[in-house]
Amino acid sequence: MKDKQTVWIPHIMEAVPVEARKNQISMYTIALEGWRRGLKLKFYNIKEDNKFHIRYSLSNGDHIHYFNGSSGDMVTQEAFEICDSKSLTNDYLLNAGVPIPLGKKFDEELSNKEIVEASKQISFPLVVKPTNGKAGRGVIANIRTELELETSVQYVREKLGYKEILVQQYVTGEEVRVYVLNGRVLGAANRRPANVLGTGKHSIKELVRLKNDFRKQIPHLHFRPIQIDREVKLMLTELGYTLDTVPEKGQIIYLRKISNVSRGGDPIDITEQLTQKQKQTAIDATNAIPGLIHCGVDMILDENRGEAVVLELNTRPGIGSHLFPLEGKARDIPKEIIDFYFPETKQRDTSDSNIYFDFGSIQNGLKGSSTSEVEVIPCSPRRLFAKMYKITGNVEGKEYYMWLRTHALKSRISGSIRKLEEGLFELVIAGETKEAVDEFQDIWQNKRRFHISVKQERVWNHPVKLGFEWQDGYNSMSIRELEILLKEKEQETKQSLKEKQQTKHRINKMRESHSWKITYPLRYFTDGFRKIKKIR
Amino acid sequence: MDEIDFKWMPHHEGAVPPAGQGKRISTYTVALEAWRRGLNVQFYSVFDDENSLKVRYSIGNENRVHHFSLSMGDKVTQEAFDVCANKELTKQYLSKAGVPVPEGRMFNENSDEEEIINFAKTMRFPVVLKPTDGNAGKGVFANIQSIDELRGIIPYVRGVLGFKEIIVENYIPGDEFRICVIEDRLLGAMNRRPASILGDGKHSVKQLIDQINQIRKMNPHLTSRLIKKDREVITMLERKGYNMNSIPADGERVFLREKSNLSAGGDAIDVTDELTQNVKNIAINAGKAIPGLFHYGVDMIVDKENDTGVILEVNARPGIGGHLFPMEGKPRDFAKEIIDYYFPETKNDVRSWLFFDFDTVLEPIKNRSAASVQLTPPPNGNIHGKKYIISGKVQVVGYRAWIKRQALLMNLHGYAENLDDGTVLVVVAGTDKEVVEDFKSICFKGPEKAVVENVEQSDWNKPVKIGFDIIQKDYKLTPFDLQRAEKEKERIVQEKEKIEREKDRLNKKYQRVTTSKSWKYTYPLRRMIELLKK
Repeated sequence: MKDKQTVWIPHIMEAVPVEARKNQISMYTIALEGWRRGLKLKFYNIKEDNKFHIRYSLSNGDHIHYFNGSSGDMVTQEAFEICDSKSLTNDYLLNAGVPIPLGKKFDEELSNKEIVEASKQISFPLVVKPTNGKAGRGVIANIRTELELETSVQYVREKLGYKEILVQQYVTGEEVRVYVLNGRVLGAANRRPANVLGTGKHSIKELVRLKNDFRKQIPHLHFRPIQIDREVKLMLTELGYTLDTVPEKGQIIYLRKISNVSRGGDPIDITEQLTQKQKQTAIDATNAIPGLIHCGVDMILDENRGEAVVLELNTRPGIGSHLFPLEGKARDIPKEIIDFYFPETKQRDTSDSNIYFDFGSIQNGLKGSSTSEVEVIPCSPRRLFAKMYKITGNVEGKEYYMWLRTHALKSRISGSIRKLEEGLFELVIAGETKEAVDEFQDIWQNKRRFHISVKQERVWNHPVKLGFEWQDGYNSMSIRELEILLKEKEQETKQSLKEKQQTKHRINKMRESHSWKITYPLRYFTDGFRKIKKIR
Repeated sequence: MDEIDFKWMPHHEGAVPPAGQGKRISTYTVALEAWRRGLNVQFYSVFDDENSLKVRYSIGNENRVHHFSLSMGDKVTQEAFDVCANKELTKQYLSKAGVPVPEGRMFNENSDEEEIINFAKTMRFPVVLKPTDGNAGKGVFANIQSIDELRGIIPYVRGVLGFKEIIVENYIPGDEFRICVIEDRLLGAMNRRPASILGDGKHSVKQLIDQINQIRKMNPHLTSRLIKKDREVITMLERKGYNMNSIPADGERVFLREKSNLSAGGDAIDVTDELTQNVKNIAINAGKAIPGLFHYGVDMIVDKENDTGVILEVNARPGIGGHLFPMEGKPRDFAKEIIDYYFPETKNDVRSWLFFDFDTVLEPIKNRSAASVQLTPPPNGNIHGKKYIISGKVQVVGYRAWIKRQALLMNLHGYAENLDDGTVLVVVAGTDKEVVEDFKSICFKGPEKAVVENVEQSDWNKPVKIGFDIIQKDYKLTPFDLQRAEKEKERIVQEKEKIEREKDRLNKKYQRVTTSKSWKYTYPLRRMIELLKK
């Protein structure tokens, strides 16, 4: 992980609250960028398909733009409709001369047999996919024989119920997601299957745990750890390893074949590796659809010729992989999106910003049925001055925290308190000026009943969440995760207990054995001799 | 005392969430009334000079928006509000209009103590001393009997409490009434009675206090304002020769405190029907005396004998909780009156039987994440409700989560709760009567893992919260619960380590023995014994 330098975006990296880390990275980071520029930010609760969804808007007072995930209202309804249908998309791409895999669309009237017959003209291997499937559902790749084709067509049409399907040539090569906005390629990312890098010291099991600890710090990967399941164990067996194997230093061990980030895969930025031609293909593909001003293009790269074929266009691509790659350079796509939607705010550089807003309470309100709309409190135009204090005192528990929170909010102070170790706490205090922060020290420290003393203090450079919260190691952990952890520990304890009892039992058995009893005098003497030896 | 009937208005039963109880009761009930009529409601924050958060709200339809602060709407002018905030100014306006007020004088910071004392010497005692801009009875000293007593109080109010501007006026004995008025119409009156219990000849003082507190807990206005059995109460009892275990006679009212503040356990009592036309006129004239004051509350001492009264104070935004939820007498729905006044065209609109979750609405405002929050409007039309009790294998099988999905799918509101006897309680409500009734078959079906034996059904006529909740018993986890869980984990880990150590020790011992020479040498012997055993 450390060999290849990763370049992060610090003002975003630590500014995504846990509540926004689950599938809401695009929404939160774009909203945050707009909010930090002083735009008015609102979140909405919209019921669609019997489910509640959160949408948001940004406004500069003059005009307002509505967003859904990474998609904004500059993408036309027409573009959405075209991109929703794979066959329509293909028609447009073909018309514009954008390279796509050879293939045919078959509508519902045709029988499976007719489809198989017609498909044989395309050369194997093939891919079968529904024209309006979502997120890879119903896509069957690398079909090599007629029999496979037959079962695949039947499965997708009968079992999954997608009557309209595409049969295409299966193109091999590296799959990449390219983000295009207004005729420019802003980033390209691909994925590497779940893997660990040997240190020469740690077992694979330990390396996975270390990697998961690391993934937890990255907003986009927080809830996507590598899980050691059957698939991983099988893969290791195939490679001739076990979980206890200690790989050599620098050795990469792949734990899965599929590369999905949600299955522990690594997102990797490869923007600089794309050829001019490949970039142009992504741009051409986007331009081919009227009204598609920004999108995520899925393409397969042909490394030998430096070309690419386009598989799919996504109107609402997740931008997490571009923002938080495990290798390569992070791409600040939220900045580009806001520049595009609100060009007049371009000069407002937010890279110095160290404030972000709480999402938990907003989301909580919107998820219930009572709230339809929440306007976020405006962002302070200045960078906050923040300090960290390591303190001791009678501050554990609710009392001090509640008391401090009331005073902090009243004094326009944001920050947090967190337990570092038994008896030692980290207090972060942020305010609009240094004076405000220093003044507030009189409040949080002078309370006689809490016996607070400061062990260390320094300027705090990490982003600060608006409001005042109690943090702890498990704040970033869902209750479910904690329960799992608890259970795991309990299991381990049980196992130890069992082993202990076995040993005890063995010893007791031995003691009770006749020979043990008979040989008592012998042992007595040898022990005696040993003692004598020691004395000498 | 297990089941206490909800003695206030049925549309408020169970319809005041914790965030709307106590000090936010006026805000919540007025907003609720508007929301139930389909008006747009938005809550927002403003900050006062000390940067304290104040929750304000707006109510509107397509044509207009009105802004509110507690029970006060924007028809009341800023000027009127400012006059009411200053007791001396209020008095001047009232006197000028011929509305009776107590005689007395205001002293600003330039007057020294002697000046005040000299003036007091010209007055009839007892007198009252109060600050001009005090809030909620703070710094008010009533029934001061002598100059000496007054001499003791002045430095306290001006020095310790810091009120420089004070009023000294005649103390008028009589009942103090809080009366609410909208323009020419008197809405109602209440009286506050100090904390007390009513004997029944059977229960002890302690038991009676507990009973009263049970009722107070049911009262959304008083949930957290219980009668505490503190020093003051005990002293007061002792003075009458009672203690906590005494049993007061049937019908005997025992007072527990002097002051009548509701927060000190006092009771609000509706006394609207006791007002005479003369007294009503005084209350109405008080409002007319202050320009721009279209609705308000007055504090008035009523002199029943002479059928008159004096106005002590005028409140531009009186709390209406005591009128909505009195401990005695008829509840008066001032929230309805206020919305009728601001939006008369909605007077006869169907009012939804749903209520909103004020807690989650306020949370982002309270933690200063949100500047404003808009409410989701309730569905149009009458709400029908049913209660189902499902028995069988229905707990720990994902029953409630499944029910929730079905309910949301059908646009039903309500909740599901596991009961202690192993059954599940489901309340559903919606605008389509048929769907609500058909939900019984859904309850019967349940998720795959459930085995439903019986579904008992009954009508549900109480208000229902919008959306569908799974009621978790004490399951609102906070970081502090996580702390506890973390401690538990540490304990387990430590235990494990201890066991491991012991295991290691035993293992070593075992190893030592098996590799020991005597063990080795005696192998033939053991072998022989084993053979013999066979």
